[in-house]
Amino acid sequence: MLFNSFSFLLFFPIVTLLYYILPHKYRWAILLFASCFFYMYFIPAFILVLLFTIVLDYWVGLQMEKAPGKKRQILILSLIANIGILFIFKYFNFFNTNLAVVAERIGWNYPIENLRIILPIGLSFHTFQAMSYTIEVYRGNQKAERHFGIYALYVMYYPQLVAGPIERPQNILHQFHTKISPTYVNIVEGLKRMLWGMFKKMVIADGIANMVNPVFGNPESYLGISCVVAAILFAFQIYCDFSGYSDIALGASRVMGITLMENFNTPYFSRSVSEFWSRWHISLSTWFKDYVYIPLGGNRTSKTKLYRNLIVIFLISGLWHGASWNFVIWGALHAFYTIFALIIVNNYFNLNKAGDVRKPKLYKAIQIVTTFLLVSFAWIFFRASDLGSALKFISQCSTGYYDYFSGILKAAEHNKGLALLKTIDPLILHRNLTHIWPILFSILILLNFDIVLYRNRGIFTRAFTIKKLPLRWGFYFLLLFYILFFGSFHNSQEFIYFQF
Amino acid sequence: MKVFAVKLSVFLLITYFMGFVLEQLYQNKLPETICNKYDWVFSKKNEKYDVGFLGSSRVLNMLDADTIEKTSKYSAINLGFSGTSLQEQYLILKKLYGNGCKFQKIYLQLDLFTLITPTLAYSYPFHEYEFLSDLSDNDVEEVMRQFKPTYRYFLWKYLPFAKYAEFNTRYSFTRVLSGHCYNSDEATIIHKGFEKPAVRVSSERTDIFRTLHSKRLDTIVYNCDSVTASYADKIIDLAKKNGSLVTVYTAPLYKDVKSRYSNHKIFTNRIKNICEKFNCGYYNYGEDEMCNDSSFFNDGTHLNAKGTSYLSLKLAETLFNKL
Repeated sequence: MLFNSFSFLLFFPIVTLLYYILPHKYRWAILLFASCFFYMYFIPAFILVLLFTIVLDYWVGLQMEKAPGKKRQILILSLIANIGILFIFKYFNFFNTNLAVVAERIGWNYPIENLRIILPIGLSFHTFQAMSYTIEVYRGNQKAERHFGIYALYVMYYPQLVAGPIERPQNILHQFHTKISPTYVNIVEGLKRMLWGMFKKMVIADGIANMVNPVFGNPESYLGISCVVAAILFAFQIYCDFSGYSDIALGASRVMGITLMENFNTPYFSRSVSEFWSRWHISLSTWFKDYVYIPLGGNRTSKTKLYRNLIVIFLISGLWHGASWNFVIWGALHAFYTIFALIIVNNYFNLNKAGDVRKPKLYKAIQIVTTFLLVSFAWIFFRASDLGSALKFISQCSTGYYDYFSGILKAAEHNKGLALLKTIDPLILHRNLTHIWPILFSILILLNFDIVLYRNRGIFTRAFTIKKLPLRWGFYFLLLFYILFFGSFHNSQEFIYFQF
Repeated sequence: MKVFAVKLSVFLLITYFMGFVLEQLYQNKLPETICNKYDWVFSKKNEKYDVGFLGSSRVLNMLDADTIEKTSKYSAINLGFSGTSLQEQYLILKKLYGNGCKFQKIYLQLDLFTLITPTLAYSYPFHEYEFLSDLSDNDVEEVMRQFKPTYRYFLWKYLPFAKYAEFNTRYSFTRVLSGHCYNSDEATIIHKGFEKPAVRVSSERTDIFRTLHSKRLDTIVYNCDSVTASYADKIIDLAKKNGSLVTVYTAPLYKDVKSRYSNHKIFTNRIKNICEKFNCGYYNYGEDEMCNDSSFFNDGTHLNAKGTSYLSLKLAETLFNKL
């Protein structure tokens, strides 16, 4: 079920109402049932994959407590099973295809064919969440959950089931055990957040998708400047798509009194790529940091090992997103950015020692813009269907500038106003789209809100608070009707991160 | 929680009121702007035509009303709409009669594709967004329930503005405010509802070849859908009640396409039975010699400009002695 669907508009109030009406001891059951329904709305059979990992990891948790001497072996068993499932569904065909290519090059008749299976929705998310549980139990940070229903709910909790945030058991399991009463603050703050998330997804992300999809689909038909604009707009699309999902997830959960971890903190205001990763998809970044990067040695190691750790972490992160070379390159680019900054910038420009306070605002702005452009360039590999398409898109970015600008100069002699604007329009947006200007204006609303959020250190409730009631309500109505006027309903797109 | 309940009620009440006002605004303003063929056809009020041609794209792109008028001197209108099921065609005709329009004769195009389950024949067989202002009509409700989930019908009907919000690219706020269409379908409107066949870049033979090798045509054996077929009866019945004579015809189908359907004769017989039941004339151009000549076709199921002209003239001939 999509958050931005009429089905969810019915599903959410019914589930929330039942949740609060039922006695505490049955609430896990209604949430679990609702989560199963939510998941099975896509492809019902895939719930069996989830069921397998739930049963296994529940058993693993209990066994690790029962037999502490064997918990390492039990953990390894759990990790093999979880990663194995992920490998079969997500990575087998990728590795198999590449092996077949290598085999062909060396003249070996490679016999194994690709599997004909569909990737279960959100598999990477719930597998990582399940692994987080077994690792934390292994480390002794979390007691094994005795209640099977609550453990199943930990993996399946519908707001974050298919696209995160990837929760830690310490943060969420105890909340399922705690009796929660409905409070004004929780419900109102949750609803506000859902409204903001819907705005980001339905107006900005889906609106931009309609603009940039044709360009990414067929870059040869567009001028270089169109490709550059499409790449920049895609950076906003993916941010609004994913953070919009997270906002709705956090909001829906907050309405039920359950707090999920923050997943975004104004990432496009980052002043370096490493800072970007502490603000973007925080639940995944911290997952990799806690369970891969630090066990590898983290920062407290030699420079060579530090660079190795960074490369490993970003390559895994790339592969986590998709089993394809363009995702590997995307990860590698981020590794390159980070290591380059560590080696060159820090050594030669001595940035870290200067201290933030003394830096002029313009300097900070340049850092923010540079980081945004670097990240946007990397997104091209993320958005493209394969590596070849990404390279084709990038090469197309450098073409047609003379034609474009000379065209504008010629047009300026004869046209004025809207007619001239249409010749300047680099995406030839006016051709098929009705809501271009409202969507572009909504990006300004987003940026404005993110500036407020940035100043409030990412604390959503503070950023979204307007003290005077008429103004506050005016803003709610503005958002609501903006969504109704300009949001995508009929041609709504799936959330991009569902595929992972 | 009491405070929350009160505030939520007030918020919802204001939202409902604003939605209601907007819906009224949309309902009054939208008919003033003609953006596509539906708008154009539904804007017809109390007009009289000698003949109206009703059907799907096999009428829209294959029946030149201008040619009919020039040849026969009878006033004609093309009522073909791309990808429409018989259910939708019935609603279109009903709406026209409801607007006070008169037709001496209705030519209804029936063939295999119109009598099978609409979702097999067309990718979007019912364009619900064209009937949003008629949700209280029982027939619209019945068709909506056939093609759309019931809850959506009720949502559109009882939640003010929900229906226009869902289709806000079609019914944009800017269109309501400015009365300006973003993509006006003027070409179709100029030619009395006829949309000229697309000029293909590739050769006609290549297109036909492609159609013949598409999976859908190769593998599926169709059966007549009784619910859909009943709408042929309803259309004829409606036309007769409104004083129109009805003639049924089957548009040409390229021979190799037709041969893919082993049971196509069942459909021809079904159409003949319908005509006998209502005492309607029937012209089967599916057996015409032009079906053997690929130079008349754009693809296996649609005529090109030459074929359209040929068919329009043939149909015009049938008008002389019948009106």
